[in-house]
Amino acid sequence: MKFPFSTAIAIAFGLIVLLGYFIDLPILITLRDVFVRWAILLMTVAVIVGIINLVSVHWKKFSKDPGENPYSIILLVAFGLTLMVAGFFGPTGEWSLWIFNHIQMPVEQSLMAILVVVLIYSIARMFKDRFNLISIVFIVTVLVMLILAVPWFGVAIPGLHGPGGIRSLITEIPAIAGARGILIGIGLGTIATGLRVLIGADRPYGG
Amino acid sequence: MVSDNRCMMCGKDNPPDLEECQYCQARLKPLIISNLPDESITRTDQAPPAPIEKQKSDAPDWLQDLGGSVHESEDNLTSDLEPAFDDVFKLPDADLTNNGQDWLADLRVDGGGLPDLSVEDDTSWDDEDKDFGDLIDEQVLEDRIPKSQTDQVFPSPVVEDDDLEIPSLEIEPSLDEDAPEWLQQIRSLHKLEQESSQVDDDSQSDESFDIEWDDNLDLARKDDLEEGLDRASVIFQDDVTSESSDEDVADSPLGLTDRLDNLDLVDVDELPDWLSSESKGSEIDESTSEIELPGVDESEFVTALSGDSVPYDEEDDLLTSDADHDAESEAPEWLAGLSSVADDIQEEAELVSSSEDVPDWLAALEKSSPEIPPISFKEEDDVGDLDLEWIEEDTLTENILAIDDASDVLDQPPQIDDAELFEGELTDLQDDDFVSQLGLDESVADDSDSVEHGELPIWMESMKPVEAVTPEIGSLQTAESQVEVSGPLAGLQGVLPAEPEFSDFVKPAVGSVKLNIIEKQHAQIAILDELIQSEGISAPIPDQPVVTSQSIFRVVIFSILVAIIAWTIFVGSQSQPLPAFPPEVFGVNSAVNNIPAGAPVLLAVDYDIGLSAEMEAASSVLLDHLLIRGAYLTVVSTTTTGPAQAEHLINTVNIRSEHQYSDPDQYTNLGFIPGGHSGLFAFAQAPRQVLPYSITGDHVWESEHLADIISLEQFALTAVITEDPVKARAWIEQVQPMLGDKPLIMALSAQADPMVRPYYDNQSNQLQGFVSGVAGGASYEALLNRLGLGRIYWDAFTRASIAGVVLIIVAGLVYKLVPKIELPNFLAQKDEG
Amino acid sequence: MNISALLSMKLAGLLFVLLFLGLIMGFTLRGRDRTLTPRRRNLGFDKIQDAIGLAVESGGRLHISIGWGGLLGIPGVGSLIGLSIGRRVAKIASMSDKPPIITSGEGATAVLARDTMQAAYRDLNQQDKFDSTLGRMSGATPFSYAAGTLPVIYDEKVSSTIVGGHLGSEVGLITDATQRTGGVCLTGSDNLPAQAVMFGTTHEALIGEDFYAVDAYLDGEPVHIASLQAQDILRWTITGVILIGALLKFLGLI
Repeated sequence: MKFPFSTAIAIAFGLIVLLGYFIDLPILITLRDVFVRWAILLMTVAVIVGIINLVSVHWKKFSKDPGENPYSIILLVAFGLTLMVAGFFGPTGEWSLWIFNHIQMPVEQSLMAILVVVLIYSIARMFKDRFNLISIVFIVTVLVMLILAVPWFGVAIPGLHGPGGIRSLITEIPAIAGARGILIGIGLGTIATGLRVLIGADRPYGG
Repeated sequence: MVSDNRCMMCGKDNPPDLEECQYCQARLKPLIISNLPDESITRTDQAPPAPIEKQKSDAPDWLQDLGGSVHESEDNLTSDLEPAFDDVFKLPDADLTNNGQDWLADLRVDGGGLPDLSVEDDTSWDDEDKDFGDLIDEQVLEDRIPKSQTDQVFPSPVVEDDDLEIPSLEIEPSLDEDAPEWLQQIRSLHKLEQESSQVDDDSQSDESFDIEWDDNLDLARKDDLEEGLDRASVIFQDDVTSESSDEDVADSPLGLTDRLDNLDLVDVDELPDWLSSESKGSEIDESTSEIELPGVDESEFVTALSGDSVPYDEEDDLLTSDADHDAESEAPEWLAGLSSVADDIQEEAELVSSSEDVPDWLAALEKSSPEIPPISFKEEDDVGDLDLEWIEEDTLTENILAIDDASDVLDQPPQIDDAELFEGELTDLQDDDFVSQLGLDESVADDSDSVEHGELPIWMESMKPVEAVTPEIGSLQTAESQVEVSGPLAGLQGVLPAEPEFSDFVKPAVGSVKLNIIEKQHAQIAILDELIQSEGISAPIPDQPVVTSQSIFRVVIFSILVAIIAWTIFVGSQSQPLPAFPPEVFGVNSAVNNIPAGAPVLLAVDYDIGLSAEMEAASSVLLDHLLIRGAYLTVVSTTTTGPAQAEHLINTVNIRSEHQYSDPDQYTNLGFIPGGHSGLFAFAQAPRQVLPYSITGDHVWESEHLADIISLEQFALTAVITEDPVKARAWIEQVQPMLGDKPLIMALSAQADPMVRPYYDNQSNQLQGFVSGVAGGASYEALLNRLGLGRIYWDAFTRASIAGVVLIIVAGLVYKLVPKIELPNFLAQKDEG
Repeated sequence: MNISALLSMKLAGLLFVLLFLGLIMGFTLRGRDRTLTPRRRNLGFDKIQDAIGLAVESGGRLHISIGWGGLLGIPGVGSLIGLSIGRRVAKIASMSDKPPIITSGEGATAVLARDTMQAAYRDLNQQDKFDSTLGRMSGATPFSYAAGTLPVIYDEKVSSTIVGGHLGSEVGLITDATQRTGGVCLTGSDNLPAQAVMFGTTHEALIGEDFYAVDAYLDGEPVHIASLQAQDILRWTITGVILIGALLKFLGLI
């Protein structure tokens, strides 16, 4: 039987970091810090690997059929230019920031603006597609929070707007309570998933 | 060792010199060359015929489907009779089922007892019979035997309308002279029989019927008729001599052909039993006396044919009852054979009559004539009076037997008055279509000017599939007419030819490639064809419309929002009242105001670029306040774009608030903290080790501003700008414990407000304050009395929020109330690309 | 916060983790033949199964989005769930003409996504069919990740998208693109803003801890079912502690 070497390593490192967080033994704390820094270093390298993966995928697509993948060549060209500018002028250099301020930021903010349109449209579609109790509660909550977030035509109605108003009550009590409940569930799920990985029951990696 | 003279009927060996089996009297040596295909002979010798179901299953579907409602009932008839007819008339094996239908369809005489094989008359059948009619007439008669071939083999006498006249009732002497020798012998014997028999007084009318019957026979075909009659008789005799009905049926062709020629050759003393009994005037049991054959007189024959005068019980007992099996065995063999055949016919008729799918015309006939009327071919008789009950009454068998008498009656002069009664029927029979259907050639008609045309009885004609009998008759005529000219058999007639007869055998009928398919089958074929063709073909992805209602809604929403925001910014509106100061903003203000001037402040820029608009509105006033306080900023980020965003934010505040903050004198950018939450935790524990250099590569920790900073708690204030509640939680849960008593404040997106607020409200005081969204930034600016992005965005934000509410309601109601939004044609065009 | 309080909190945390681990192990050993209770059934998981089958039959491609959460920290758990979904889906849908694609917004998870797909094909002994582009990174930031995922959905004939990982509100762009192409979109995330957007834009969204139960529904292995049972017990325990604490606080006893 093949020994699951990678799984044993994962379990061992996970246990050391976990125990080092709860038990104040110098050796455990030292090992924990060392392993976490290794992890940070690996994640930094992983970012580079991810970028290489991104470039390689688009390079393959471009090589396979240049005419059908115009976005790939755009990405490759943009990547090369940005890499050269940032490498020459530095990540916070003048031209690097120019690229960031005039290309990347507008593009991503435009995506956020599109998302606003998508959300409004999706909520409107809920009237037709999913007009059930849960959806009604969702829609009403969205509308109330939007309406009470701003004064109506220059008039801030006491009891509705501002601190102590209905919006604040909704935000501070049911919203927080629900969010907390969900977060508790998420926390439990996070611990359970982490423990399953720790004991080797889950191996989402290749080993 | 196989004997050379083994009987194919009983399988027993016989002496080689015998021509008939000494055990079963079956013919051992054929006298004429059979035109049967070899495979049919092999089938007869080697194995019993396959079950009808098996044969039907081999036939195409359209053949089986044509069976229609009488499918079941035909099985019995087909299994017993059809092989006999099939082999006799050389029907292909594949046509067994169809032949049965032909036979049965012909028995179903339209409107009465006169079978009209003309195509035109078939069109008068109702729709339900149309299938049969199509099969019988169009498929069988036309497709299977081309008209040209039938004309050659079976020349039809052309009878012009003008020539329609009552056939000559005078039997010309040449008729007897042309008769074969064997027939003359039979007639002589029969005359002797007639002289010795008593004629009943009541049979006068019956005699007239016989004469009429004879008149209907085409005298020119008298020889053929008599041959057919004799062959049928031989078949029936073979049936008697064989115990296995299946084998009888299978072997009957050979026996038939044997006896057919044997009649020409043998002496009267060598005649079969039934002929011998005929000549000897053998006594018939009383139970069968009412159908005395062949010595029966004409009146009894007609009585038997009509069926009325024959008591049903007696007749039934005679033909079908097991109780009379002994009596049947005592009867002549030919009669016993007839009984077995009649049983089959009766069963068939019963099945047909009991079938639920009886065609309308047949049902109508059955209703209109519940009883079998005596067959009286009078002109005024309605042909519809006849129905198929004569089959049920087994009179068919009797009629078959009576044909022998009919052949005798041919010698008697017909009565003119009686013959006139046949005028109508003859008109039909002499119709061009009918003649052409029989395949008679004009040349024969010309030759028959001096010969009266004989006519087969209707039922007999119906029993003979024309396309099958054609080559047989041709071959028989040829065989009989040929006189051997060489060899030891020179001078003999009817000798087996030295060469097979396929040289002058007609070309086999070519099956029609046209399938007779009903509409339902057409539909099924189309579906199947479509399925097969669609297999392997990828379903085309439907073209997406260039413009849909969805797209229109999106454009409308976007346009309205952009218009409102752009107009508000363009006019510089600041009319909307600012929100009240929330307590968390006061907490932020207090925390910033409490830091010493020039104190180090840790600033985390951890928001995504996409939300930078909101985050800058919320955080710019906080940064402005810090710059006002002269704090030394140490910027970090857990996002890859965080350092650039921090530079952008500081530059924006510098420009808008007229600050001159610069790196590294007023702030330093340590850059990106890798590792996510773990990296953040590590940075909280050891900031110098995790980020030892600034983003420009400087040893900033050695600078005068940061030289004393060993841990995070030595920063006067930690401010986090993030839109992600998870990141906010990470800062609060991972970093805040390392801050000691130093405050932690945040500038958050509105979406993170509910998740972060508990950290502010709890007694642990993990979060001293936060600014939430555009509203929080605007209120903070109002608190500081500064004009920042929050205040600039506030009016546009207010109006866009209200517009968003209205759009959701309106669009939702439109979607809810309008089932389907129809777009104009020019908008709903498909994307052809 | 003094040292004793910190130590007590750490000790309580350690005990809680050990209790959780003991419950999982105990339920795993005790209930190997157990199945999910009907109360735990969720239509979303059934839709995942249907979506996989539909994608395979229709010749479409399955797309699994595991977000940009990375591996470390709380978002890392969401990424692990997404990778687990990807591995199981890859085993089922590998017989399709168009194998599934896993997209990631973070370098480490992109590497793991590729590794996961390779492992799935290795398990099926179909390593020759593996393509290194089946696990890819499509963007380095949340919105760039969403923007890089849109061409995958539009151009590579994706018929179904399963979102499982740490994403933000930008997930709305992904779900919208999937629905505009007529595909089925099933979503789950550990991020609350993303859950809100998912609920508004898709028919099937896994809310709360349901997202962490995907493994149990897809595989039904004893350890996963035991994990769910342990979560149920501890959730009710925490709920009881909160209610009792609130009551005692209301009564002024603490």
